[in-house]
Amino acid sequence: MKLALAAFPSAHLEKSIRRLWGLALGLNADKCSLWLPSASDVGNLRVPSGISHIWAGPETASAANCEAGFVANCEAGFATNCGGFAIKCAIWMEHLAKMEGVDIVLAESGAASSESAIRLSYRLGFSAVSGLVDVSLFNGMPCAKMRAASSHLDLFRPIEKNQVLIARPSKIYSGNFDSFAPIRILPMPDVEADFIEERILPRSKASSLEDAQLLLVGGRGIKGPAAFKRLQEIAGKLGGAAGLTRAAAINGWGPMELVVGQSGIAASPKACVVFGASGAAAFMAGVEDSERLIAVNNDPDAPIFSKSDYGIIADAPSAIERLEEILSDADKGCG
Amino acid sequence: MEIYVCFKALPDFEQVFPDDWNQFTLGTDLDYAGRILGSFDESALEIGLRLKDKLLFSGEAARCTALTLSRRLPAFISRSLFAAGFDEVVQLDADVEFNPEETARLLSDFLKSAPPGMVLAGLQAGFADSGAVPALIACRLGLPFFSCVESIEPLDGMAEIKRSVDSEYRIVKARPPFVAAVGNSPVSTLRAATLRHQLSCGNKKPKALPADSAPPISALHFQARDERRETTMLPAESSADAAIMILKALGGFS
Repeated sequence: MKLALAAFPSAHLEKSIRRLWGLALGLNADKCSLWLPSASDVGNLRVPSGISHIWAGPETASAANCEAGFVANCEAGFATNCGGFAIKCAIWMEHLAKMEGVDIVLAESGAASSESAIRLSYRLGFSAVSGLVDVSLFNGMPCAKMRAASSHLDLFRPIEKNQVLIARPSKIYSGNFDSFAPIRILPMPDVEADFIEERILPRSKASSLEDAQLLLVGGRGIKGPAAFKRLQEIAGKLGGAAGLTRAAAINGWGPMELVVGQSGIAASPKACVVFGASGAAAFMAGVEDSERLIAVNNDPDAPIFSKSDYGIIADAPSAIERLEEILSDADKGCG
Repeated sequence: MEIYVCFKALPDFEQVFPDDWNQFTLGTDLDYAGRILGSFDESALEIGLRLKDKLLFSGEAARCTALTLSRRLPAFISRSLFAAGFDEVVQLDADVEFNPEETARLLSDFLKSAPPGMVLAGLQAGFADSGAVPALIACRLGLPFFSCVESIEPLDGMAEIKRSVDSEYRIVKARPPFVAAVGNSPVSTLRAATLRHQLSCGNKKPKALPADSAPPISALHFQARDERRETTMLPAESSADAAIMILKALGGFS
């Protein structure tokens, strides 16, 4: 079985490859190539020895270890995420899949990468299997493991030929990447943008939540935006990040891009404190990979307690206020 | 402008008995849990209505149709859609779960006959939350596709689409027709209808159309998730105690 890993990152290329490789190991592919349509500067990229070769976009044309005979017609000025990026990538990958006879494509999920992968599945007539969090054996068969029914269920679907798997793995492969694979260059197709113009504005860095080692989350039980602001300040002091549940965001207590849960960010911090959230499965999907989970809620019967390592029965806004005071006192040297 | 909003009424998963998750199969009846709109779908429905309002205000013709692929559309949901301002509710009579290709095929076959100006949908909906259906509809219809949409404003025959992608907002100007998948939008709830509107649409019924769906994907397996941890309850008599306990539980982080 021929497998291709498609990674689309702009900043964390190695992390993306590690995520995909962790899953790829469960697929027992005969041959595995790595596709990097948007990566730049992959000349010194170390990969696992199981990667036979790398296909990259034209930005890598100068890479030192480009394989002879595989660089042609590099397109100048290509910018990632420009107009029609997803379509360009889908056509680019379709070309590779057909040329190499790839049976399964494993792509990392993301705004542009998911669209590219779904478009690829359509172009190839493959099935799009998205939301894959792990590869598990079920009845001796490698299956895509996905969340279903707002994270109440794990769904297992057999992995077969002619599938595009779109993964959002929480685990990262930690073994050594000590090989250099030959790099082959394929120019991007020329595709017209599907919009008239685009402006880009910065917004809150939701991605800081995904990478935070300490995450503080406010639910509806924090009772207002003041407590969320305090949570953000506390998180800043402790070197962490603050997010909120969808219910709290709908109330306008914080921005939607900081929503944690199935409809927002799924984080895997070393520690997470959840204030005033009951523990609905859709929310827990965002924090369940925390190494240490601490719940603060004034309802002793709140389901979140049974899903946490530590439970504290307390009024969330008051506890947040006191926590901030203690940390401020400590800052002043009197705590 | 014809605006179509794809949506799905889902079982209220939080109301399902735990035993039903333990023995869940594709045939398990969860209707007793009641049905609700998915959060992204609800945003898409409201954004569709706001677009219609703005187009009508500027003197353009606009119609809004809510489109669902389901045999189970509770009357209270179709009533609330009519009352909120949808001109039509179309129900394609098939239940397709865990098969985004088939869902997209049936929805786009209908949309092909309806030539839409805009097709909106929640970024993810349904049991599996695959997130693949809106993009597949765009592929099948050959239309531009925009994901992670927060809002859409009409703009001189075009549309200004605000997308939140990673750490950026992307404000895109595009000409309809297109498909937009609505994600985490500040427009998060469907408007409440007035009593007058509720009464005036009392007799409206969804237009039910037959849909010839393929058999479900076989060989799917389900397992109830067990998220329980071994919990240590930390005593806190006051909020000050609670704060201290949080710091203790955090250990090295504080």
